Amino acid sequence: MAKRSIGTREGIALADYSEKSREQSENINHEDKQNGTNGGDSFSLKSELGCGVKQLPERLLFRAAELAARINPVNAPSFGRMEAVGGQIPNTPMFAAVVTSKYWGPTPRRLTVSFMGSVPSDVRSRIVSNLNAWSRTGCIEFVETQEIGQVRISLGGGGYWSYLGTDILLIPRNRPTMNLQGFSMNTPESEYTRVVRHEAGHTLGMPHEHMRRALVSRIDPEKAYEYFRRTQGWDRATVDQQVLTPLEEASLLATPADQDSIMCYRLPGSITRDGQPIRGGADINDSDYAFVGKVYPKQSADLSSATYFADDWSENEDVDVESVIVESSY
Amino acid sequence: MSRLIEIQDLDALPPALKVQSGDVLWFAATGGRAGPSDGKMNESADVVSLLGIYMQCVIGTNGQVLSPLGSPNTVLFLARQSGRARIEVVTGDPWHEPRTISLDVIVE
Repeated sequence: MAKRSIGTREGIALADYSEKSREQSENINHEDKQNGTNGGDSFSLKSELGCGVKQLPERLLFRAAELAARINPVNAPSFGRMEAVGGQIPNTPMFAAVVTSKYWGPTPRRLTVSFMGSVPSDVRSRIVSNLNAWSRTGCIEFVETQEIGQVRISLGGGGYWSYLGTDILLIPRNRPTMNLQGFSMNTPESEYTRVVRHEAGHTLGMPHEHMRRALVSRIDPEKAYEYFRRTQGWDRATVDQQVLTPLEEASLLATPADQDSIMCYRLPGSITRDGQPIRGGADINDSDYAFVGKVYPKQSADLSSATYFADDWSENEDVDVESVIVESSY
Repeated sequence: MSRLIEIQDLDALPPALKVQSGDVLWFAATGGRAGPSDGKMNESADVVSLLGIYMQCVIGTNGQVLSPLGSPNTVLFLARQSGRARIEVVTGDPWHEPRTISLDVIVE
């Protein structure tokens, strides 16, 4: 399962660390009580936890986020998007260093959904129900609105597509954010499951699983070029973009590629090196659910109460950020 | 004046589509090709050509070009000169039972 993206990795690492800190803190406190001793100070606690993540002094957190974004724009925080969805952003510099890229963040939220054009109510209900399949383990809910939704679904031509994660908030309001060509009450439930849940995954910020390097490496490029030229009329550049260019693994959480993920297309054996198809996912599988439960936990991580071990020094020792950037460019 | 003609419903097209030289045909589709008409490659290739297969994107409110995830969703053809041609338009899901529609085009 592809776990997007750089920001997600940091957010999950942070949430995991805070959980571990609290758990171990509770265990240590329990032991102290049993032994009749007082709880240790923060340094004792750190030694119990082993390697810990140091945090910058609070006054430098915003500057650190700014520097990260300058070095790699993917790291840019997305406060505006969070505010647009009514996300509760703690007014603390800590949060500024966590929210990045197209990830919605770990707090529960509702995304409003509307449909473009005239769509029967039973079709709308069926689509929204399948969007919400992810809610079994995730804290993001899709809610239909009579107003212009944040998620705007069209059923026109052009296949199936969706904008990625928080990008949907940047799409002009008269344009769709998702397309489900031709869906109707005559569409089999298997297609509602396979397609709507896949596109919902994109809206949640998940990219294509078949673009993982381990799966791309199974494809024979020349066979793929011939296959998609014949069936779609695609040129080589289009095939490269759609099928043969792997995601940058460094931007993903390190989990094995999952060809049964709902986010993985089915690719025929006729284009693979070993003749075996890339199976593709027909529904959200256990790995998908587990991942969503981690990045969008139903009981959201309370980052404001996380136990961090803040370092500090006098302000006159702070590093000149501009000189760091210049040095790193050589 | 050349026209940009948006074809919205592939199932509601006439047997042959009449357009003018210079017109651009715009299909919401995932693929396509400008094929021969009646097996005569010479005639068709000069009459209608495939301009390209695209992913339609938008400029977001942040000023950046934003692309959806999915297969290409727009196919453009150019009517170059008078004559008759056959084109093919592919629609649906490229990964699951795509549908190819043949269309005769008469360029006046």
